[in-house]
Amino acid sequence: MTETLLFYGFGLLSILGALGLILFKHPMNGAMSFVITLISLACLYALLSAKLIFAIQLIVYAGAIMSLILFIIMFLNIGESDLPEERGRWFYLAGGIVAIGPIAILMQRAFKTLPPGETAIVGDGFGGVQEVGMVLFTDWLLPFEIVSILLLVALVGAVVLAGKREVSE
Amino acid sequence: MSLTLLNAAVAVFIAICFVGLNAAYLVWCERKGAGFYQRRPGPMENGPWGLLQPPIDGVKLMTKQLLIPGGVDKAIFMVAPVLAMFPALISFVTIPFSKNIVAHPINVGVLMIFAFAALGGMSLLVAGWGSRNKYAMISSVRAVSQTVAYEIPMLITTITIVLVSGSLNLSEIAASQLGGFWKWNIWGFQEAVGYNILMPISFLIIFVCAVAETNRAPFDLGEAESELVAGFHTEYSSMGFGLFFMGEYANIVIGACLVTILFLGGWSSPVPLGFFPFTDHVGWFLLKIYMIIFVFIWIRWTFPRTTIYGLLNLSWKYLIPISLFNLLLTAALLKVF
Repeated sequence: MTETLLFYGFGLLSILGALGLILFKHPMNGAMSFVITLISLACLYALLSAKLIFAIQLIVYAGAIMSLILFIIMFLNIGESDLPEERGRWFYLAGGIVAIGPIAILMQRAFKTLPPGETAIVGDGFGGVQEVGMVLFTDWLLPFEIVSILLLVALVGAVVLAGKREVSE
Repeated sequence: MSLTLLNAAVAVFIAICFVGLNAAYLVWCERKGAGFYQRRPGPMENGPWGLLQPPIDGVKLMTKQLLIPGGVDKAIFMVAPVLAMFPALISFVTIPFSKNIVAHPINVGVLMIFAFAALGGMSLLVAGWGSRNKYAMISSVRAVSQTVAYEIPMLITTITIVLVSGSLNLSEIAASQLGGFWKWNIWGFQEAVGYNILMPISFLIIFVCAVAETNRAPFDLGEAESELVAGFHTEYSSMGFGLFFMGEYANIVIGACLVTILFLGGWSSPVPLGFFPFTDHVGWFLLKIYMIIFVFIWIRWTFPRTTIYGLLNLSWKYLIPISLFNLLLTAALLKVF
């Protein structure tokens, strides 16, 4: 009972946050509502008893990445006056509906044809440290290592971009 | 013990009481300590040795008017102090005070503390932005770059300890060091840590990081009152300021708890003789954390403030490489022994 209530609460919060992200005019307010979405997503993971993913979502996304995004917004310091005037807003909206409408109907049809799936409740250890570690280091070892090399490449790239450039004569 | 709504509420209530009492009386200790180091008596007027000063300060803070300056971002301005206090409170749920005294043992307890600390760091940024004040803004930029910089060596050093004890559960990490002070992780020359003689340096790194993460002198660049008025809480009055203050002291207690659990054996007795005061119990834990907090206060009133460049260089150029090297060394040594 409590779980269901909490699920609906956090689900609603995450949707509201996502709406706020695209509807608020000021980038800072948008970023703050994105934080709400990230935190309520983390809470949804916690409800699924995936404590590790909950913690990592908070550390990586709500903590580190959002701090950097907020930093950038603060340094750019965009005010209301800097934003472009949106004249043909309603025109674009109508165009968007016309474009997306058929796709939405198609998707709905496609979902209806899917066979009703059986959902089994996974055990309590799902998403724990040991389980994730076992999966990462046995079944998915190669992709894991490749991703770490990708991160290294990104790191080197950032250092190269940020490094001092010699002024060419 | 399952986590029902009732015992979660009780745990949070006890955490609030503990944090409130600690915040109030650590301020008193801090002022007495400052007085001691500066050769003056400190608070003396209210009650014996000024012991009634903290409750009176609390009443003063609560009855003052909560001013919201014109031009601030109201929603963000109001959220920031709550965001400073709330994660600090929740962190206490995972901290084991002794074998039996822990609100809810979580098998990724270490990560939980870092997760909530990350949320707390965000409150500084939000407060500085919401205040629409140059000094608050500069202060929050400083505070966040400091928090991000010092979180890295702290996490890496914590991973070293996780490798040693093979668990992310704070209770298990503490329990693996029971049986005398020579079993604590701070000592390098023992089999449990793979004879890694750099363990004391790890302890030093995590101690420095704890001082820096809690924004305390000599690393309190965010609150440098000679340059930035009062830092990110310049515009806050009444309980808004009070919540920041309490959050800060709660973070100090959490930092001390973390250092105690990771390196000083948690609730383990230094000399296990088997009869009452020398068995493993919560008293030792409290003694250890208050000794660490005493050192925090001692450092604060002894060393002058560093510069922001010195602060960031210390983390990026020294602490992170040393802690990375130590992590690799520990992993290798554990494999060998």
